[in-house]
Amino acid sequence: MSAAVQAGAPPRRTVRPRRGAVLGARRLEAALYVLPAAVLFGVFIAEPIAANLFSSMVEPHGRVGFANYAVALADPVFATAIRNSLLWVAVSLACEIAIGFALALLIELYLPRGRAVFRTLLFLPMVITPSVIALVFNTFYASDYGLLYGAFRAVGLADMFPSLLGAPATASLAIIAVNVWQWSGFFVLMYCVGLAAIDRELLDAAAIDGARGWRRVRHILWPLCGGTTISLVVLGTIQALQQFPLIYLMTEGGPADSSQTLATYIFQTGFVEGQMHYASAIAVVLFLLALALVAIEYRLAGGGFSLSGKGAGRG
Amino acid sequence: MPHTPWRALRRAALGLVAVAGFAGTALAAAPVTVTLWSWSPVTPTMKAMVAAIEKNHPDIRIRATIQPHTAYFTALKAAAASGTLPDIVGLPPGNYTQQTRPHLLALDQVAAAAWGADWQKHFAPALLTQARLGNPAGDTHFYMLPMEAEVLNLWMNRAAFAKAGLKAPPASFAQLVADAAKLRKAGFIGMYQGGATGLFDNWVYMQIAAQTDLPDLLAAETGHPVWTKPGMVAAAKVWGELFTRHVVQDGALSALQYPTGANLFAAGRVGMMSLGSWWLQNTHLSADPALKTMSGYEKFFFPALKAGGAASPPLGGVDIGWGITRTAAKSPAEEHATATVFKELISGAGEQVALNQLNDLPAFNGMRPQGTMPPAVRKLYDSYIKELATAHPHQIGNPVIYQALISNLQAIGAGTKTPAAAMAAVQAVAQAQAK
Repeated sequence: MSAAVQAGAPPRRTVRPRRGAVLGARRLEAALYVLPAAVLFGVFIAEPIAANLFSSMVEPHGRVGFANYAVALADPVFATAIRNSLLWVAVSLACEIAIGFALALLIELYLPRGRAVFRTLLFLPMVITPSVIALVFNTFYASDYGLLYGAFRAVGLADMFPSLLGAPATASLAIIAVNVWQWSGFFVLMYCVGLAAIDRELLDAAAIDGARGWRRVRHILWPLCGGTTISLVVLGTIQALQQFPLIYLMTEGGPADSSQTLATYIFQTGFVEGQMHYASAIAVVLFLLALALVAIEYRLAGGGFSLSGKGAGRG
Repeated sequence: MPHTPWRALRRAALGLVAVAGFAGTALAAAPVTVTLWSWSPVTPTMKAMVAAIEKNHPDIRIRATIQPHTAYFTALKAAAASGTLPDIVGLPPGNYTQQTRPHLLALDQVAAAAWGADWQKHFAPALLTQARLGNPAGDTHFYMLPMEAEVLNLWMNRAAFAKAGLKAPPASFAQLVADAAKLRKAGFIGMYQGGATGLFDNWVYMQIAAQTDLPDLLAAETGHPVWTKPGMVAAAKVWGELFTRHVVQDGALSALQYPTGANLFAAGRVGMMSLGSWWLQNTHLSADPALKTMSGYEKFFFPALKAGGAASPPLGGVDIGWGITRTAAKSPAEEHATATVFKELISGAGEQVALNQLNDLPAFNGMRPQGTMPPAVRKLYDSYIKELATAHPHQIGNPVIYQALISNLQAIGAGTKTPAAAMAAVQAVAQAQAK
């Protein structure tokens, strides 16, 4: 209370700011908070996307149009790259989710001790650089001197040894297997977090109701890890679509372009063949494909993203 | 003595002048730094080259970065786009030089200043032709000048051959097939092919095509759409037979030429391998006596396809050259330093060190390795020098055609395309590029 009021003087009328002015000030304040992030987004994300979009429309003779997209539609390697990119998403995700959830169940529910050790061991491939992994698995798959070949020879089946990386039909799958080996540990870790976050009382109640064994996994644990699954599906989709080093280091997209994905084909057309505008067009397609897949997944998930298993996913 | 503010200020000013004076002197004497990127020579050789140049020019410091082939050319492209290229860049002729050309200085004046107005006489005409491979019509400038040259050939491991009961390299294709089978039976890889490294698929095919249709091969290298000519298809057929007749190892299309293949060959696990004159660098890089003296290895050209015929003629040319970027010289001192290093790399202390380590063959006339060589190495080296003089070019100028050729050669090797269909596909790309 002011000294004037205390002395019995009539209170001064305080001028209350208009509601519009308050809102304006708050909006300005909010805008100032958002500004740094917006500037960073604009400079490092929006502008490169716009620049790439423009680049994709620059035709070989400098005109602006859709010729690069027309070329892509008639390009058989581009079709292979699209097919392989979708194969990567489907096979990688299916394997990583199955392995990740199964191993997480074993670790969290059936392992009496040493969980941290197993989690760490399974996570180790994630911290190995892709170039080392590529070299190791190139040797693993190699005919004549590879570890896998040695196993075939040991059991007298050397003549039946399949050259997994050298055959167009299996090259992509062989690299996807390496990717699954590398990333499954991450999926295990995330499912462990998801499982650990499930309310024990809920599990006890389910047990009293007779939900045990497979039924408990199918009807209780799997649905309750729905949020984790959806988040992993989104992360795994983006990772699979972006995968470049393993493919390039193991096959350079070959043999005969059979293991090209959109990511490696962008590199080949842009950096090896020097067709940067065509590469930009392929990059736009990759961007749209990633956007579409994630949008579909987001819609199927009902917007529930959570690594703690508490999302609103349908599971 | 009383301390007044004025006196303190005066002392500070004098101090500043002294510091500025020292700094000025230091700056005046500071060496000029020249930055250099390349994928070749190998790092130990490059370090020795840098040391030799810096010893000759104490006023110059060289910051050299050597990266693996693919990483290097990716970095080059990114640096070109972002305006952060180094002063000097290592370049092979043809498509990589052409991709970097907008950022490269035309070297004609630099070369004239270094070696005189008639500087072109110091290089073999074939090498200068290759240096300009892919230039736009009418552009006669040089954007790279060669430091070293190479010759392509096959190598054999004598010990592996001896264990397989073989003595000499195969003289015919039929014998190549038979020798590979014997080597395989003796526990070796018959002929190693790093099929995942497209460059060597391309080079083996070109060595075969040099027998079946040399004129069209040379025309194809410069962009002419002649890939469906009978000789070119015949070469593709022979390439396919390397796979179907098990001359190259099973799974060759997934194998890497470097480091895997070269390591296996050096370790004595491989009978034959497609490499080139640069294999001699192992005389300095390896401690293995068989490599150090080359007594365990012998070179030969792709054997005659027809009995009694001649082996493939030598293919070769520029291995590595140097270009100067447009952003290199920011001051006269930097311009001078860059030109000095450029000259030393091609015809001076730098190249001499590389030659002494047998990195590859000299591109600059009159340069030779110094010191003594084991007799077997000397014999090989001298034969390469002779072959280089008559070697036919070994580079495809257009990167899109080059990639199409690799992809289709791999398709033949994998059995997913017939030689005729594969060459028709390359032809279609070449025709589209010619428009």
